[in-house]
Amino acid sequence: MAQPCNDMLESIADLVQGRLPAGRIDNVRGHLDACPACKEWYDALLADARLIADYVASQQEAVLRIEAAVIDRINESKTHSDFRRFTMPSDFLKVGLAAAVIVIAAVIGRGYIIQGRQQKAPVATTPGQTSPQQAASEPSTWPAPVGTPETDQTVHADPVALAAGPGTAPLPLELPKPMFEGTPGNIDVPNLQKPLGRERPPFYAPAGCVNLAAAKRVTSSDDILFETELDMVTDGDKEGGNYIELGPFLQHVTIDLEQDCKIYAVLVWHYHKQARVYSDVIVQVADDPNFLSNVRIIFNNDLDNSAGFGTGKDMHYVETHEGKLIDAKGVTARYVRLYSSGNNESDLNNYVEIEVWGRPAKEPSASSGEDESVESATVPHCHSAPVLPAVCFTSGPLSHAIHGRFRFCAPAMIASAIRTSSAICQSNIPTHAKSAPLSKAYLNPSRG
Amino acid sequence: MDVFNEEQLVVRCRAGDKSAYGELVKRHVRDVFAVCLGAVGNAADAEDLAQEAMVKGFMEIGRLRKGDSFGPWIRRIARNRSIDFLRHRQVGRDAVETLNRQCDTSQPTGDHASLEHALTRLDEKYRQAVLLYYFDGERTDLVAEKLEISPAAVLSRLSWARRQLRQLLAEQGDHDGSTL
Repeated sequence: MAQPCNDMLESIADLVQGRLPAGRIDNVRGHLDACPACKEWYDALLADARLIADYVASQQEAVLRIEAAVIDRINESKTHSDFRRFTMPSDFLKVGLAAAVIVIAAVIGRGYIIQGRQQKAPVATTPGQTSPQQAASEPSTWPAPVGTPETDQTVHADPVALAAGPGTAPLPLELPKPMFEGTPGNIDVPNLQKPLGRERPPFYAPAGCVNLAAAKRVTSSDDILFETELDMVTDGDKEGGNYIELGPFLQHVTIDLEQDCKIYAVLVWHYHKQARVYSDVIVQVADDPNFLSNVRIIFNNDLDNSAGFGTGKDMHYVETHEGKLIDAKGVTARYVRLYSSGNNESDLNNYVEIEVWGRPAKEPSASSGEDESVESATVPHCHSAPVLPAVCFTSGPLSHAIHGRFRFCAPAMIASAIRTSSAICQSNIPTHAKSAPLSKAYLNPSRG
Repeated sequence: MDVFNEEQLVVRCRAGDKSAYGELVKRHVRDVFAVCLGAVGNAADAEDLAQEAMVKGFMEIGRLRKGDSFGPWIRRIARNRSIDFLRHRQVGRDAVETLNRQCDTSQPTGDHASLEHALTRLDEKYRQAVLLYYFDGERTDLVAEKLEISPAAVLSRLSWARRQLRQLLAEQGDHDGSTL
């Protein structure tokens, strides 16, 4: 085929598509009459249009097959909720499994407690204890200043190399495998942070910090996402392929830590399979799920205040496997919310994983013996009064009962058992039945 | 069945009326298939994905907050499913599947196969526009609604897509030593 005139390509396509202004049609048709190459191109476009229409028409059978198959499948079930049950064992099996888990947990737990009594109890750090970087840099301002929606204050924090000190420890962060290497290509984003060029230095915080967000409930501003999909944000899987995708424009996810916590760092991976820069990344903490009271911003790179939370001064950054570590400076809050508004590749918003590192604001009293250990682990959210585990699993979540009663027991074993029972009971765990905060950390033993 | 609007169908479906979901399937299966086809680029996978998406819609309909937004919701499920599929498809498996397809007589052949191959090389947003346009009886207003862009933007995408497709098909023709 001879090459058509470059300056006519758009007009010819517009003519085929029917979007060419009426005043230009004669002009373009005149050109087609005079230029064989363009006429050939025009004919080819018309042929393509017929081919696509023919191809789509040929898919009608596929459409009918899908329709029939879906209707067959839903007719096989009693109700839409039956589909969930297809993936779940019978109640009998659940109770049996639950009982087995309890027995194993009790045996292991007792051994652990006895062993624990023979060892010196771990030294608990003071909840309000400051890290060396706090003391060195701005001790008078920590914890972060508290604001209201009208007087939100942004804490401009960028983690830096920190010094170790008494009562502090580096956060035991576990990073996923790098998904891309080298320096990102041209990313035309203002105020872009330069790559560090080496591994991020350890981040020191008061000893005993755990990932408070592990397996916590996540909600989002995007109606389309399901709770089960949102669970991916706090499921501990940080590999690049497992992410959620929220719709375009400003979207957020919110994590309920289930109690007031002192937060020292928020670590977020939006997407690290390629070099991306997300826009309007804003991280807020608050005391209520609607973010109406005591809202504080701990990170904001919304340079033009397009999100409406104030102009941010934090820098844009390129996503890598290290994630973005945000210094929360020991701020106390229950809810953490992260905003973004698309990225340099698309309008969509992604999250692979979010970790919130800190400790409960009210630490449980240190236990000195077996009885106290069990007593202190009464089910705090499942029911108002201590209950037997058996009562809990008939009413819903076995996992919660186990969390509550054996949170000082062998974490790895319990975590494994809880994961199993959580997966089984996933669809009928009410919100209140999420596990106790301390024991939640054991869901990922590596973090405990 | 009486004619119900989408919101009523969703309500009835939640109440256990499976025929209501069947009606929703009939109304949206074409779009769902088009979205899957636009995302993954081949009809065989798109058929499976569309079926999965529609079943998932049935499973999760209790979570749909706005009954009248079933269309965008189910299309979004379809797209997410397709993305998941592409994400989890491994290179080795791809190679095997490609070989299987080459031996599978049910796969498109000739011009349709060339077109499908060219479509896979087209940017997704153009591919979606083209497929929805033809699935929707060449109505740009419907495509605009589904893609949440203006009709003018649809026309622009279609026009650009035609140019790109023509070039891709011409390249394939040159490569194969044949022309369409």
